Amino acid sequence: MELSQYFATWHPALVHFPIALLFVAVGLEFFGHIRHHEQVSWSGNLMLILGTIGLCFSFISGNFAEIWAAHSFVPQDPIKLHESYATITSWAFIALVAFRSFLPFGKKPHLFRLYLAMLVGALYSLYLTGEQGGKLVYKYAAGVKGVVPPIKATALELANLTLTNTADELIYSEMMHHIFGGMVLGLAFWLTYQMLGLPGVDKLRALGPILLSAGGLFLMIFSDFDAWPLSSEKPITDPEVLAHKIFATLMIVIGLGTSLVRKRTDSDIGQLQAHLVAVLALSGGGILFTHVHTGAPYSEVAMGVYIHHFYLGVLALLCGGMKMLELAVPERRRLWDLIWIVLLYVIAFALLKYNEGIPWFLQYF
Amino acid sequence: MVSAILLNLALLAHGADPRPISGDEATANLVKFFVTIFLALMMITPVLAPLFRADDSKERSPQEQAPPKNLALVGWVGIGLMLVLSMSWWLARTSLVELTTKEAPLPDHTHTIEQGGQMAMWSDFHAEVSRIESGEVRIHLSDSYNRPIAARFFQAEIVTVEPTVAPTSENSPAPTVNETPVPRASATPTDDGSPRNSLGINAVETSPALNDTYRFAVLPREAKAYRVRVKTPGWSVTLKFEFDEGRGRRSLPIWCGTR
Repeated sequence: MELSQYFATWHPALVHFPIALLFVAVGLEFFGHIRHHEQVSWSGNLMLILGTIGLCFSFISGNFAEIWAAHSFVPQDPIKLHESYATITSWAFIALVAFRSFLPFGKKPHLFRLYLAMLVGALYSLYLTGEQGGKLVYKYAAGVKGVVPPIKATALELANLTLTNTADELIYSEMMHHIFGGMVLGLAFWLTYQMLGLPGVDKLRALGPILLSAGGLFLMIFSDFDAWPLSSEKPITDPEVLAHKIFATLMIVIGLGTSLVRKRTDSDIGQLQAHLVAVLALSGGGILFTHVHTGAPYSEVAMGVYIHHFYLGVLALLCGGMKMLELAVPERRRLWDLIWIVLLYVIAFALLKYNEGIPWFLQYF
Repeated sequence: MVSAILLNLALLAHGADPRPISGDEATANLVKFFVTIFLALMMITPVLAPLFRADDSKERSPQEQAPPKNLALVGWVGIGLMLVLSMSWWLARTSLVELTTKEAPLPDHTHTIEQGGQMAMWSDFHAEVSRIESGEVRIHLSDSYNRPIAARFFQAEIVTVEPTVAPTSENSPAPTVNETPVPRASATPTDDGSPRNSLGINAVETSPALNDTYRFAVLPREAKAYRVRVKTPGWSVTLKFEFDEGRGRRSLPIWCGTR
């Protein structure tokens, strides 16, 4: 719990970055659009990107703050409301950053006006998130040391705090991570083979898509043993089940995409396939950042899971980032490729060594 | 009936939370799903788009028939889109059903006795107190969905009292629970006062069980009526229980072999 408290203290410090940056970003975007000022608009875009990155880090530190606040008997419903607003805000700004990247300055004015309108909506969501976060402190005394929360803890909340994962659940989850560690290792071998241009590379190109789609299909069925199709205990609206099913959908869709790319004859197929796997890494990284452990949300296992998913998410985003760098600085392509494949091996290793609870490498301290 | 209600609750529940999903959580789920899928599709489109452009140009040529590989392309893209649409439909439909279905009311909190003791209730708390023939008293706490509350989240102290006079027949029907919950308005906040004498006489502090599922205290074997003061964060309540003597439930015949 001390670890959770430590990371929780980052949350009130980090939230200032998205609040300040995103409000200024929207102001600059409006000013740049109205006054047709390209540099102001460019600054607004940059602030939007930085603010969205700040949002992601605030979200993760918020997961730890949530555990700590719940253990201090702060009511859980207002915490969950804050988390829901934060989820909406984070994903709205992620979508807007992507949308903005397709809107060059001075072109497509109708789309730009739509973008500005959506920015206002996302900003309102950010305001609601901040307001609810403030209430958690001044109304429910979240994170205030030496103060007993003014609201009595309900039995439901104490039962939620009691929840722990069964040994079966933990073993199953670890097994699934290890299986996918093997799959990522296979993908890394596949991409290394293509990068080195070893014999039979054309035939080998069919293997990656099969691996991805088969992995997606496997995940769709076996992601959670208490959810569809193995059981109906948890519906898809459970945030954890939903995250797994989104992963499965992405894997199948991108598996199909990498297979279709093989039909292209006008460019380097290996590179295009790697590009699509990078898309999977980027989207998957985003999902990992907002992953919620619903089975036992306030347990020590949940805290460990958040740490695991944080560094796996960072690795996944770095993987995707390498491909973005490749597009921006193509003359260094060989270097980006090398780093990208090394990162895939690191992810495979992290998944193969994955454990539920405090990460194995922190247990030595 | 109870199992049907519990099944209904299980179907409406999401994750560890036994209550149906709220509107804000459903919205957050939908935003998260659609934005992720939208982003992924948007990012893979530039890579796949030339395939479709090539196919379009071939279709425009009057001399050429669409080659068989176009069908394969359309087929695979169709499968991908079908999958995305199915997932969207599944999530949207489940969210809507959960939001519009009313939670079945719990029939007076379904006082299900799990440990063979007696049940008392206040707010959404359930306390089940069982007595072992050896004199040990165990206190299990749970919420209105019968989910256990760990012993580390509550305190309890026990005072032995005189049993109520005029016991009924040996085959008394339903056991009687003499509980005196403190009304919410007068419930006192948790204090750090001495456990002794908080009720006037010989209060015995309970200890948590090793597996943290209940609290217990070993009292004299002849004592069979108790006042139990349970303290949870923000709550303090006093309950009265009687065992054997023709009233209430019988003590549990569990004996430790080493005693």
